[in-house]
Amino acid sequence: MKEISSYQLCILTIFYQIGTTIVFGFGASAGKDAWISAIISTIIGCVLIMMYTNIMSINHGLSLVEWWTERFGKILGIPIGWMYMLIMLYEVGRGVGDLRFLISATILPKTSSIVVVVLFMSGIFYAVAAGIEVIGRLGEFIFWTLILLFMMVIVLLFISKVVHLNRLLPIAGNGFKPILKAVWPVGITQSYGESIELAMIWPFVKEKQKITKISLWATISFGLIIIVIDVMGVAVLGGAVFKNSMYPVFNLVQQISIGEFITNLEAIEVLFLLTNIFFKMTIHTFGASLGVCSVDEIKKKKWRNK
Amino acid sequence: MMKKRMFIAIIIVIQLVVTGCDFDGVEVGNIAIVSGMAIDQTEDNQVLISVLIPVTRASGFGGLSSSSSSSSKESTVVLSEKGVGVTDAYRKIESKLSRRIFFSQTAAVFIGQKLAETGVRNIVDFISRNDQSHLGLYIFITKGQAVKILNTNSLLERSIVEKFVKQQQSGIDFKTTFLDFINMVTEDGMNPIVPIAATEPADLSGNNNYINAGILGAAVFRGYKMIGSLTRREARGAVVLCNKCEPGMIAHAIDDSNEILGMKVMKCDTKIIPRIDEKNKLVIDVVASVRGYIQENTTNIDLSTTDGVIAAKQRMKDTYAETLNITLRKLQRDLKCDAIGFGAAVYRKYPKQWNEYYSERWEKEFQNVKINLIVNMDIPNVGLQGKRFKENCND
Repeated sequence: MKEISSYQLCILTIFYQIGTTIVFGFGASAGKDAWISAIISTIIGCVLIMMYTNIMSINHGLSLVEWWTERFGKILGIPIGWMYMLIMLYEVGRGVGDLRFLISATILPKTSSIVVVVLFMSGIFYAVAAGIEVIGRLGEFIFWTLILLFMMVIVLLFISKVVHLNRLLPIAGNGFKPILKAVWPVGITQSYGESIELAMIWPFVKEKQKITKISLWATISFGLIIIVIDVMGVAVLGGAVFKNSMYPVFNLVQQISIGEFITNLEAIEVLFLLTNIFFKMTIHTFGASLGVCSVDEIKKKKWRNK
Repeated sequence: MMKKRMFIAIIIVIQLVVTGCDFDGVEVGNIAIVSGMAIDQTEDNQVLISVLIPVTRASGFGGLSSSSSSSSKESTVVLSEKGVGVTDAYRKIESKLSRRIFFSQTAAVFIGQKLAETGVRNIVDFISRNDQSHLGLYIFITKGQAVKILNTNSLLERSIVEKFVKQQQSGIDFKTTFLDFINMVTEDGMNPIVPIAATEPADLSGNNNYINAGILGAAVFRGYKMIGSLTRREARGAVVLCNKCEPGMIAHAIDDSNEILGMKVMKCDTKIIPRIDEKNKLVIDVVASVRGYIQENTTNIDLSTTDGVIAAKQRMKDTYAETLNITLRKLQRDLKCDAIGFGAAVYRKYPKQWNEYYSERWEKEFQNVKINLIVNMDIPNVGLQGKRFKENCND
C-alpha cells in the first residue's frame, strides 16, 4: 500500500499549481491590476477544485483515467483516458521548453540546452520510478526552504527601497475588461484547470475524506503566493515593465541591491524555477505513466496503490 | 546490490558532467568589463557608442605588488565606434579588442544631448532586451558629446563612472535609474526627467586645471524625446517635487542685503494631492514637509529667541516655496511638460475623470492647472551656537 499524508498532498498541490508562474508572473497581461485578476482567478479556482474533488468522491478510490472507464465503459472510457495522458505528456514538453528558454536566456546562454534538459529529465525519471512516496517526502523536505527563500526575497526588496506601492494605483484604472481578459481563459486554466491532474495522486492519500479541505487550503495558499508576487512585481517594476517583460519575476529579483553588496540574486529565482518545474513535471510524468498502467492494465506492484 | 551500484554510477556520471560543463565558463581574463557607456549621434545619423573599460592587466591592477611599478598608468580605457544601431557599433568595438565585451557590470549610461533630442527609444530597447545589462543602471544626459564625460578622469575614484554612481548613491543630486525612466515614459500623465552631466573646473580658484564632471541640472523629456533642460536651481526644485530629496542638501535664503541663512536638510517629504473642488475644477496641492538644522547665519536674526527661530523658519519657507515656484513656472509656462507626474497623481486618485476627460487633454490642462504650494518648515535645531558673536568688541 503506497500512501502519502495529507500534508504532503498539500505541498505537492502548491508546487504543482505554482509551476512556471513563479517566473512568468500570473495574469501579467493585466499590467498594474494583475493582482486583481489573481484574486478573481483564485476564487474561481477554488470552485473548480471543489468540483474536481466532488467528482473524485463519487468515484471513490479511482484515479482520473479510471473515472472514464468506470462510468462510460471501455469503448468510450479508454480513448478519453488516453487524451488526458496525451495532455499530460504535452505539458511535460511545455515545461521542458520553458526550462530551456529560461536557462539559456539567463544563466547559461551558450550551454547546449540538451545538456540541461537531459540532466533534468533524468532526475524526473528517477523520481517517477521511485514512486509517489518519495516525491511526497522530497516535497516536504524542499518546501520550507523555498518559502524561506521567497520571504527573504520579499524582505530584501523592501530593504533595497525599491518598493513603491503607489505604482499599484489606480486600482482598475482601465476598467475591468483587461483584468477579465487575464482571468479567462489563461488565468483559470493555467494553474487551477490543470489541477484535475492531481486526481491521479488523490487515490494515494491516506485520509481521503480530507482531500477537499486540503486541496482548498493549498489553492488558497497558492493564491496568496501569486498575489504577493504580482503586487511586488508591479510595485517594484511598474505596470509597463511587468507587462512587457518576458520573465517579470526574474527582473524583480534582479532589483535587489543592498549596499552594492547583496546584489545579483538571480540564482535564487532560477532555483525557484527549477524546483517548481521539477515537481510539476514529475507529477505530470507520474500521472501519465500511472495512467498508461491503469488503462492498459499493466500490473506492476510498485505503481499501484492496491 | 546491482541497483545500488547503478545508483552510485549515475551519481558519479552526473557530477562529472556538471563540474566539467564549460560551455558557459567565463574567464575574467577573457572579458572586457564595461563599467560605463556613452551613446551619441553622429553627423550622418549613426550612433556612436563609447565604452569605458577598466584596465585589468596584471601590472596595473593587482594590489600591493603593483605599487612599485609606475602608478601614472591609465587605469581605464575608452573605446568608441559608430554604427547603424547599438549592436553594429558593439561588434566593431569588439573587433578592436582581444576580449569579449561584458555588460553585466555597466553602472551608468550617458546619452548625448543631440541623440536625446531625436529620441532614445532604440537605446531603451537595447538596454532592456539584452541579457547582460540590468534595469538598475543610472542614466544621464550630457551637454555636448557624451564621450567627453567618459574621457574625464575622476579625482578620487578609479574611474569617472564610479564617481557618478557614488554621487548618485549618496543622493546629493537628481537621480534617475533606467527602470524609473521606463516607468516615467509609460505611465499616464508623467514624463521623464533625467540629470544632466557636464564638465566643470574642479577648482574655481584656478590654482589647478583639473576638469571635473558633475551634475548640472536636469533634462526634461516628452515621451522619448528631450525637449528642454532645467538649471541647477530648477532641478533642485524638481527633486523636491518628485519626492526624491535625500538628507544633506543645503538651502540658502539670501535676503536683500545679501545675507545668508544656510540650512542642512535632514528630512524632506513631498506629497502631491490632487482634488476636484466644488466648481468641478482641478486643484493640485503640493505639501512639502521639510526638517532641517541651521548651519550658517550671517543675518541679524537672533536665533536664541523663539521669535528669531520663527523668522528663520519663515525665511526658509519662502525660499523653498520660491524655488519650487520657479521650477513649476518653468515646467508649466516654458516647457509645457509635466515631468513631475502631477497627471499620474490625478490618474491615481480620480481614474474615472482622468479617463473621461484629462488623459487626452493633459498637456493643455497642465499649463493652466492651479498648483497650491504648502511648505511645512520645521527647524528643531539652530546649530551649536545661539546668538551671533558681538560685532564690536568694545560694546
